[in-house]
Amino acid sequence: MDIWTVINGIIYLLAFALIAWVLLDASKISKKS
Amino acid sequence: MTESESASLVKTLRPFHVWALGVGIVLVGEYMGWNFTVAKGGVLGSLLAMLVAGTMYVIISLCASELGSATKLAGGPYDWARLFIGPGAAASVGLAVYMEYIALEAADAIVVAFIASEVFPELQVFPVTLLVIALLTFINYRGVVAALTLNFVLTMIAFIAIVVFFFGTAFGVVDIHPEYLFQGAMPNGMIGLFAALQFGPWFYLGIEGAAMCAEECKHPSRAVPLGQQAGMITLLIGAAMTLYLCAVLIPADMLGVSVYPLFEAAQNSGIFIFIALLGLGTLLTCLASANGCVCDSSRSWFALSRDHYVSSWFSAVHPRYNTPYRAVIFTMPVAIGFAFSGFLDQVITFSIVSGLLCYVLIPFALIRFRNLFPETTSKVRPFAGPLQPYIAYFAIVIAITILSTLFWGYKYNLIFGFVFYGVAYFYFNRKHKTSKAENNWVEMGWPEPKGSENARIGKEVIGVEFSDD
Repeated sequence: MDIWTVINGIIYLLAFALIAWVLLDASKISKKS
Repeated sequence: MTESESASLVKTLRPFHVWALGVGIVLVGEYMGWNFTVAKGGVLGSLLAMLVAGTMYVIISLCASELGSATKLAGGPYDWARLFIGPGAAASVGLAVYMEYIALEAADAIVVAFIASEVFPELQVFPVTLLVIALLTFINYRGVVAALTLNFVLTMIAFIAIVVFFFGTAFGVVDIHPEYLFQGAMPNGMIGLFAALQFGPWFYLGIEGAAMCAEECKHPSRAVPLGQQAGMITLLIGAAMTLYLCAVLIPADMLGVSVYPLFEAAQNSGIFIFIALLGLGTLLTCLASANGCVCDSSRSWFALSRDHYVSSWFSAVHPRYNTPYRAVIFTMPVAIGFAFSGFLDQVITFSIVSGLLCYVLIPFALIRFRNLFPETTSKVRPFAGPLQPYIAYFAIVIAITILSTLFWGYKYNLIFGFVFYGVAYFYFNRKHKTSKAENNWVEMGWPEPKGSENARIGKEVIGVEFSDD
């Protein structure tokens, strides 16, 4: 596999991880209240 | 009362945060975009556009400082329109501010991705754009202080890069070409000078957003005017330096179509340190702009939601981070949608149309404010701008003139903008005429408006039905 495919994949993963963290935290706060 | 309903926005921001929010959003316009004025009207057209738009923005920022320090609310232009004009105008301005900043955020994120893919051609634009939007949403979700402190650092580096380049050129480190100034002074005649006005706002677009963090400032009556006026002075200096540098280092015909004019000017200087500085500045200023846009657009949506113009679900405040977290999250899908619509130039033009609509209504809100509360007591007006409200009328004339120049090339964007905000105006005016919301002059610690014996005018001003019971 090409190194740049891996880097692009890691960037996707990072972006989705950040989105997931924000959404999970928001749903946790919403449930609590 | 739920935990998130009882929480409120945290009051921690200082004047340098206000400066960072305002200049951070705008400085990108000095790194790119402003040079389209040169394509239309040459170097002279660009100078005229810079001066005319600069005059308008100095007045707008004086209006915003006065209104922001008086009202101390997160909605900024939306809240001023709601309090002093009416619900229809408030909704139009609230949506205009939201659209202006979110479209700008999308454009900034794409430019960051393009720059990254120019440096590393194997990098794809889509994931980098997504990462930028997700990262800035994450930072803004976690807290406004961290977000704006980051903005301060990014913006300061980008501004220092322009200053260093300017003084390097002024002290003869770089060979300049004064003949470029005359060769491309006025290629399209008088009509070109007029047409160039449409891109003049690029030098300062979004500075009024600095006042939108008023509700989160420790001392808003001092921080908002100080931060905003310092920001405006920074931008005027930056704009003058940028125009001079680019005009003497890039031939006018090439400057008019350049994507990154300041970076290209640095490249033409042939000095590595300037190329590196301006390259870094271009990247950082895009990030700072997108970051500030997330902050401002979320506050506008939060304010609209708090007053039930849009679903009140978005008005929740995070109990730990004290941020309008749902409004912050909501910026993400909209920005991604704009970013991948494939119509970047249309998105940017829509942002300018939205901004110009605000520049008509902000001075108008100030005129109404001055009529309703003529007292100069520090309670109502901690900051009073000079020559107001006369200069506010002048700003309205300039804003309408610049709007009219958009007919050259952007007729359909302008018509779409008018239809969109016109529908919003009539819809929300009708919807909120029948609501029973109470006016909050007393809560704000203000006297009753002039000419009102029993708050009748106050109720009419915010567009709610008056009842005697």
